[in-house]
Amino acid sequence: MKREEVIRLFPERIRKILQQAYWNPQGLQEIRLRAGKPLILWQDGQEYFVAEQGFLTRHREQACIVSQEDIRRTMETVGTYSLYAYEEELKQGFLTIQGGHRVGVAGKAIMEEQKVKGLSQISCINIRFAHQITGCADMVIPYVTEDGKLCHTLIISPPGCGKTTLLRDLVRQISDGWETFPGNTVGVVDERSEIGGSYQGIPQNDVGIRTDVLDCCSKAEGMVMLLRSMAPQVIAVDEIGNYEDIRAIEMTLNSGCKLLATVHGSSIDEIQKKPLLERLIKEHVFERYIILQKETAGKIGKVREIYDERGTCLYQRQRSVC
Amino acid sequence: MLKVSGALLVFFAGWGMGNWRSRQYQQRIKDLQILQLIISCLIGEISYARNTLPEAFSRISEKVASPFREYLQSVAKRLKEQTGETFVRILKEQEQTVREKTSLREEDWDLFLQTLGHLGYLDAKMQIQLLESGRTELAMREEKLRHQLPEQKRVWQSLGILGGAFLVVILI
Repeated sequence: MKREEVIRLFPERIRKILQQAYWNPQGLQEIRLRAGKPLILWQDGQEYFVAEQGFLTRHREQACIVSQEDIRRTMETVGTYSLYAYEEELKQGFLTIQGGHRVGVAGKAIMEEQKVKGLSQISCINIRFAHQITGCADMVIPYVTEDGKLCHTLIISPPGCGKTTLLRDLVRQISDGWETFPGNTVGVVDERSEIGGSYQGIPQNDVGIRTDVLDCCSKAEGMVMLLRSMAPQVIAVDEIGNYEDIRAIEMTLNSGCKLLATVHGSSIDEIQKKPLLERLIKEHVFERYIILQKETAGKIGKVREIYDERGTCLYQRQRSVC
Repeated sequence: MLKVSGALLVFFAGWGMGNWRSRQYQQRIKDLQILQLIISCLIGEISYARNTLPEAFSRISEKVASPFREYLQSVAKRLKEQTGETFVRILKEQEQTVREKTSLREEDWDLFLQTLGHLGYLDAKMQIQLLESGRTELAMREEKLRHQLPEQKRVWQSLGILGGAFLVVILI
């Protein structure tokens, strides 16, 4: 990611400030704008205020204050003057821009029949910059493949531990294949544009050469659509949990596809307590469980354990039993 | 002989100018139709494809002739560059570069830019309503001009001939 790519997202006033400030695009995680509040930047796990004179500081008094006009102009720029084109995404509180970066928004919700119709008077913007970690799935690959085939795999992780990052790299490697593993056709249902980071339908992250991405589509519908039209060998979905997801998973399994999925949680026991997932686990649907654990703040999570369908530990951090 | 040649030249120049003015009037009607076509295409791009404005302008430019094609392409290019300028400013600056190449009057461009200037604001339904309203206004203007066309053609052609004849008389 280049500095220019980031600076271009903002209106003139903030552009000038960011151009003068010293920050590292590779370590940049977030830039937050809130109307009437200081301009904040997160880099390498640290929070900084951005001063009007164009430097990073820990002192709030020196920070540049964001105006409502800055927010409006930023939305105009990130939405390429076309916020109407992001209506569906904005209902979920975000839009994805070129580069796969996510722009989260908050403001006044417009409700209709108890559902969010949209957002008006946006007053807060959080731009999260996507950094794909290529190769982060290297260590789990030997555990999730057997006899040249992928095992049905469930990644269990608390929030913010990198399960989506891991899933993305798994998808990429399975799609591209390697010497001893032929590349598989992978279908990804990317409900929140987090896996592919698609912009105008084109994945901005490297998800492999044989991957088809259904962007901003509900998981249940998306899985069925992919099965019917794209003949996937593997289907990947993020954060399964509701009844429709489980039904679609059953359909996927019956079709002979392999499944890669993630779920919020910290252990298999915890997941088993969820009524919808309990049956899948008892029936040994998933052949591999990857458990992630949180590392220090600002750092991506690590693989803590890997289990097979019977609960046999295949890998434990700092001790491999396989 | 020289006087006769000169007189004929002046006469035909007057007639030619009248004809040119009459054709300008007709061309203005055609240009108004093109503006309506652009708006119709924008409605389609927004309502069906939900394309962003840079993408929409780029695609529509392939459907229209010069100089509107160049106008739309230059607007699309400026929008994609994300220079930080407002949408309205970009529209107006690019309009300055093609205005002289069309037969549209200032009030035609003002109406067109006013319609487009509201784009990007609020939801798709609002965009379409605004565009449809602008298109209707342009259609009404075109209808009015078309209604006046036969008379205008006669007036300009007559003025051209009479003007030429008058000049010949004066000069001789």
